[in-house]
Amino acid sequence: MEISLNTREQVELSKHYEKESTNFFEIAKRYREKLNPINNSLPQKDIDHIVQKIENKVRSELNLRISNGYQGIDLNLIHPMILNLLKSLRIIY
Amino acid sequence: MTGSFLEKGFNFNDIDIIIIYNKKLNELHLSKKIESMFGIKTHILLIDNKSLLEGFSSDPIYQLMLSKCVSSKRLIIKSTNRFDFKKLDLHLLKSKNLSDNFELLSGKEKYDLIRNVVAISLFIKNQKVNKESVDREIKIELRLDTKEIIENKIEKKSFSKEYEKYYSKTLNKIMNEIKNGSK
Repeated sequence: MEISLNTREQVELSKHYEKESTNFFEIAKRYREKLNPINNSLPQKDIDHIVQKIENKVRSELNLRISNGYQGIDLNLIHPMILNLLKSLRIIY
Repeated sequence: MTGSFLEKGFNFNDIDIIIIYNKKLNELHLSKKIESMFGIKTHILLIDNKSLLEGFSSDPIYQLMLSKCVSSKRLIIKSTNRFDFKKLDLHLLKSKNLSDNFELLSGKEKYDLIRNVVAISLFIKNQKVNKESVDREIKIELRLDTKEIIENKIEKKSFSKEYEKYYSKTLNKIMNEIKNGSK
């Protein structure tokens, strides 16, 4: 969602989606709380699997939009954004 | 005043208040003040007249929100639907992962995400968007009872199949419009 928003100018819409992102982050936190170890990084193998899975999903959503005429979507942002998100969820330390 | 507070019974978590203003107000201060007065969590949406009309004509969730409200002054909104399909695509994306997160979401959260897709679908078909029309569509198209969704009593397997179908149909319509050059 954040990647799509970078291509749009509407301030109101981005404000709305900041709120939505916060809601989704809360759901992700609930998932994280169910995963052990809670206070430590997950094993590298699991991290790689999670990153790959999210990356595939996001890439496929964005590619669908690019093929339908969206412009200005930077697919290079996917990977660093996922890593940042996983850090905030304490999946990666 | 709008939202679940106006529905039958006492199944509400907060009060949603829309303030149509000419002068900028302090949103946070106001909601804190109302919260302390009534002891209920309050969401305030501050909006000027122009943005309200703009939202109402292009956003099905505004139409849903304002289809039932009480106001201190008579509120008459006359507008024709204006379709910004990229904006609708972004709104729809919110409901994308409902099936994946099924076990983790509360009934109310599920209902909000289902309602979002259905409101968008009705809107692009140029149909009325209000609580009754949304619940009717949920019943007909998804074969679900609103009460059961909110009470978190729906079964994932049968739900996901119908839901994914409905979601894809709505997404395809939006994508086609975008491909054909609609905004």
